[in-house]
Amino acid sequence: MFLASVVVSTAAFVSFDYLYTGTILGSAVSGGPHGFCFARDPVRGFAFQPNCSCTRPWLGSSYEFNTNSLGFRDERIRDVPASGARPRVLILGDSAPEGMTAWQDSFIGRVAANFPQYEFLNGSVEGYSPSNYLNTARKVIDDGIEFDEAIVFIDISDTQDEAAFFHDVDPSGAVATAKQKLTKGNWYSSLRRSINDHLLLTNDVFELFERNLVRLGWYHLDLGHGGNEFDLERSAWTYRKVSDTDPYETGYGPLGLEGGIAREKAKMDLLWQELAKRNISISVVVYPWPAQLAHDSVDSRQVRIWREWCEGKCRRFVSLFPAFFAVKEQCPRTQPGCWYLSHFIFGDTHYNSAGDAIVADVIGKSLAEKPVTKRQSKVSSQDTAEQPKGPVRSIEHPHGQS
Amino acid sequence: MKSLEFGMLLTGLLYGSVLLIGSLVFEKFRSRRIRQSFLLVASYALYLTWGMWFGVVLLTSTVMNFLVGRWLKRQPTATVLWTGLAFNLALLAVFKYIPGVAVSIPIASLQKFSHLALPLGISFWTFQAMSYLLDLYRGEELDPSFVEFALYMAFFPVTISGPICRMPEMLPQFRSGERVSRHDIGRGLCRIATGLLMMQTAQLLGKGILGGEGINGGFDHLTRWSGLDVWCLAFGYGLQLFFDFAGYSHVALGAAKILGFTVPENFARPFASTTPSVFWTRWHMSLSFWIRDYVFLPLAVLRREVWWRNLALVISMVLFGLWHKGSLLFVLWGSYHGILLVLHRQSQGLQRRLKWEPPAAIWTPVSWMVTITLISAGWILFRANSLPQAAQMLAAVVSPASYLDHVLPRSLYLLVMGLAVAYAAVLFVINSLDRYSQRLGMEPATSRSEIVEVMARDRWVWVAPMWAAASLLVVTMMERQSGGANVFMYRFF
Repeated sequence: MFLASVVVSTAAFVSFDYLYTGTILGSAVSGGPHGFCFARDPVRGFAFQPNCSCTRPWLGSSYEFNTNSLGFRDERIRDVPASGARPRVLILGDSAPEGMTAWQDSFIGRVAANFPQYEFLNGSVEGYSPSNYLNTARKVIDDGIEFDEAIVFIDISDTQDEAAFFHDVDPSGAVATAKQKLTKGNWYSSLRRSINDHLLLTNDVFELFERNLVRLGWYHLDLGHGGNEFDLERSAWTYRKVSDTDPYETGYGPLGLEGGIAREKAKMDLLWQELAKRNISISVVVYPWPAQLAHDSVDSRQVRIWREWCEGKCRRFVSLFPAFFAVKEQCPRTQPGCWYLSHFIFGDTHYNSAGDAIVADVIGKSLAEKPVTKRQSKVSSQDTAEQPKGPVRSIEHPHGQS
Repeated sequence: MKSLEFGMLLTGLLYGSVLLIGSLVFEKFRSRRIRQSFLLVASYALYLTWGMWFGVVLLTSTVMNFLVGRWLKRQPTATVLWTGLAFNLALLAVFKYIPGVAVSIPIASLQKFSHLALPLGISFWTFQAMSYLLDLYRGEELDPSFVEFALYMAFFPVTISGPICRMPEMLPQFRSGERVSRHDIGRGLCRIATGLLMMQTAQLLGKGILGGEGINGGFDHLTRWSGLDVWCLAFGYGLQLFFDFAGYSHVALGAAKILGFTVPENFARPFASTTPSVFWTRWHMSLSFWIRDYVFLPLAVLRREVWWRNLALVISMVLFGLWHKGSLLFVLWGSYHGILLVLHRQSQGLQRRLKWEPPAAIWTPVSWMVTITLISAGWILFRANSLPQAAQMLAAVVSPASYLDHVLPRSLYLLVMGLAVAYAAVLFVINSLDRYSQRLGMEPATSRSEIVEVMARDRWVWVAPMWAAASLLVVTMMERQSGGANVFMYRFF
């Protein structure tokens, strides 16, 4: 009788939750007439629509999203003139600098608010990697938009994206994405994803336990988004071996890990060359994922690679690893995982408001130390013609594919 | 907000721990002195956690009332009684009524009162003290020691929000050396569990669901209401108040039961009332009966005329309203209920004179519906934040055009209706099982369903998982809503 009652009660709870969740999701944001402001792009594969406004959902919450006339995320819809009175900073990166939260909470939004003397053009788009950082910068230059510094936020996942997700389709540097996509997961991942998608209240109950386990230092959080958030294949390459042959997103095939890193560097070399000849300085920012904070060190391979690359090239090299490891150090011994709960969106690899505030603070210090200055234009249209955009010929990889 | 909720959790844990220790002490010791000493120390220790100053006020009131009681026993005159009552009324005036109006009085010395904090439960334990004096004056044989009287005033399960106890019921229990039975502990735990679920449900009603605002937002944030909105808020608030206060009463009664005490019931299915008179024998019963015994009945016997009896009824209900708070809205709320009771009595008299007996099958549901509607309308006066707001809401009720639209989120309508239906269903099941239990043994076994028999006999077996699922549902739904701390509503009275 007791067992039967437990089963009936659980079934009643789940049934009610299913209806409740259906009602919530039924009234959830749909993005409006522009969808979620995405558009196909012949060069980058995908980009944002220019002058678009929508509400975008992200892990149980939603935020307002606007783009400017360049198709870049901005505070509001606006026309970006070719040149401006204030020094301009072009931000290049993926979802982290794009911001999966309201503009004013995102770290670029915060930096922009703290430095009104600069104009920030945020060319970051989720899923981008150096191939598209280069393509975005080229598009801005081709459109005649002037800027004085490019800050590139290199993501941990860029390596896998370059190795396995993007490939060049022609010598111009245009990219296409991998057709094959394998997702790592087991029965628990599937169950957890189903709960996440269809049973919000049950999900809350699971989260209650998961939060406390993470707080206690149990770094295993699988919400069905491709594996353990603390050990995703995309972020594991800095501290453990990853598959060089498995396709996206279970591995780094066809280029393999080292091929991916080489391709990243090559694309960044091209970006640096194109900027340097226009007297535009380049800066690089690296930041940790939860996996790095859980399993890696302040001097992660990601940090070393880009510090070395930056030598002689970058106006500034900023590593956010020390700041976030300092946060981790502050957690009491009884709650070693508190840093994740306090600085990341739960169930995600992105920073929450507190994490974004740290990034904005560190970037702000760097900008205060080395201000952005208006560049002296030294390139003519002839110069551009002399060095045509070409494929990344220098990239070689173990499998001989490009 | 979070710190407030954490504080509430800590308080809950503290009370729970004291209860656990108390049940062990009552299990182990039969000595009256040990039991009373433990209860008194525990009661004061818990009360002092709310504020040191509160404890001083409670102790002063205890000492004064005990001394007046002694004096009254020696000299049972109206002068002595009124001295005691005047002290208690002055205490209420100083801490409860003057601070509310002091701000608007242009006398500097009185304005200082506006900063006085209201000692928790002062309305409850002051009324207990007054009933003690009134009982003595009436000649009740009550001879509590100081410890027993102090315990009567500070008994921790009921100090903060009642039920309002009476000395003749409590004194024999304080003196009892009986062992607490397992049945009492089980029953007490069940009542606490039920109460906690009801209180959580009240919080959910206050906050709302599906991202929409709840009853609190409907009263506090809106400036315009349709007729439908007002009815939804009024009925919803009645439900919210019931779940909150009745839930708390369940917890108080359960806690007392675990220690082997039986304190008066405060609610008896008030939403099943079919007349306003019945409603007031089922809602906040300990106060309702207090007003009846110590205000209405003594007033009513002063004159024999009907008009006087009706006036006594209105005066009693105005006092009932004022007990909650010294404001015009509560005076209006009390008057409204006084008039409802008078009208009900008059209609009953008319019915008797006309010898009209309508068929119960039609009359009972109609009467029930009218009663619930009228009671609900009264909650507008009880909950509105100001007189203009109450007037605006009541204007919407009587404006047919306002019924064409609604401002409140649909989710709130859904929640209020859903909870009303769920509560009715629970009552129906409990009633059916109670009836079934009574029939058990009277009917041959062959005519009985085995499953229903087990359900009726071993209720915890199936109620416990159901309770857990319902609690989880309510808590998780509430956690998804933002805004509004979880605070017991009646602690402010």
